[in-house]
Amino acid sequence: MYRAIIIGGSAGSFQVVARILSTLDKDFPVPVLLVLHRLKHVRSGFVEALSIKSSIPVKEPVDKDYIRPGFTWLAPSNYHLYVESGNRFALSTEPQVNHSRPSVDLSFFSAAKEYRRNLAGIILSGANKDGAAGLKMVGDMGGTTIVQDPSECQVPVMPLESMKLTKVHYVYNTEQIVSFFKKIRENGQNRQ
Amino acid sequence: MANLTLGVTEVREITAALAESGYPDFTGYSLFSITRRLEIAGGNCGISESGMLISKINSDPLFTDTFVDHLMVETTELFRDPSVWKLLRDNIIPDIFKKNDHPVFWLPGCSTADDLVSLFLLLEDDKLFERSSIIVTSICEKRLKNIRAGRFDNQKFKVSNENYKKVTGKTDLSGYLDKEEGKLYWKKDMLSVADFLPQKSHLEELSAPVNCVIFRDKMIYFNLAFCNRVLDTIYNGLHTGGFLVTGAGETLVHTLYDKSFIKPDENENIFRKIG
Repeated sequence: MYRAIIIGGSAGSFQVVARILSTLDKDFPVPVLLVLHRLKHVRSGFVEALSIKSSIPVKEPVDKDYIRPGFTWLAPSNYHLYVESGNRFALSTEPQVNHSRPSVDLSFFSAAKEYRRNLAGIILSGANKDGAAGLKMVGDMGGTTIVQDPSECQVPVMPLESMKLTKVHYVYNTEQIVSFFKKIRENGQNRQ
Repeated sequence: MANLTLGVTEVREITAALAESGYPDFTGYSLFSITRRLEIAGGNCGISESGMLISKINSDPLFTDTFVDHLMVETTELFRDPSVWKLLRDNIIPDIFKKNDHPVFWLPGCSTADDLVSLFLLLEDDKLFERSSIIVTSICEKRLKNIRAGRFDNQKFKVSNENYKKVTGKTDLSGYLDKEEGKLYWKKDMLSVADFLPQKSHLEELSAPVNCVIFRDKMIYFNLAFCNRVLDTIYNGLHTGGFLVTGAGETLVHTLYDKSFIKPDENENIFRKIG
């Protein structure tokens, strides 16, 4: 059973994220965490933009919020987002990683340690290597690794860097990623 | 830089060694955060094995000072989250001075001069800093020394200057900085307004109550039990009606002190102590 699904993305990922969120229903059994590169000093607007597309509430966690299903949790701007012991979020102002804060790598690292095989990591379109090392760790700890098909990506660097670093379980186009989520919903959380 | 990887047991052993050597107790830190900080600090100090690190902590105070310095997380910029500082400037600070002849501001757990300089720049109008006491405390004496020396990271200038404009409406921070051998330093008189005190634990109560505690993005590294302990110290250290300023991503909702403070503005993390 998955305890979380983390989606990492950057340039060109918004439409894919919006498509995925539009297909989730309020009873989707797994917390969905979005770690997307975003403008550093714009605190509002992104939640609203995603909420228009999403069937479940999109929320930016504050420090020590419980990680629970029924929400899409969006990493806040200018903070790293960690999964801490006790199934709570933690934030960090540590330096940027791969020029990014939030960094996809750091979210994957922390969640992989906490959830191990019960984590799915997905890397979407993006222009730098952030997320590649983290996705490798997700796989190394027994979790499921997915990248968006680079041929479909607006900017394929993030999936390609991930594929260079680790043998990912699945290379999916957008609709296949949507199906992955649908199967989790139908199978009551069972791993794919 | 060496590569240090730590498990939970090793983290516990290292934090215990630090506490036994008279350094602050890091056992109240969140596990992923402290593990990551210890790995980074150890790596920066050229340590690749936990036993070696513990041995150095137990035997070499100079090394341990440097190691603790590397454990600290830098602040990211001046006036981080400009809207919070704007609220401080426009509403909270005038309110504090209206009710107090000589208010006291406390900045615990400082790792850089960013928040101190931000506060100074807010108090500069009407020379309010002359009517204030500002107390800066840190668990790391090396950091206090650096803050007092006024060193400013050139890379932070652009974003800090943009924030400064947003908060104050003024145009340029350059006038507050001196350049020495290619490095930027805050002008000495700006930092001399503060008293600098070392802390032996993460938060030690001051001898007299204060009017405002600026403690931004520090509790995010603590576990909940430790947050409650720290908030207890802050609560007891504040005058009734005094203010606690936290980071934008921090909340009191999960703590025992949620009902002990009210927010004057729902959108910003400034909390007023209620009696």
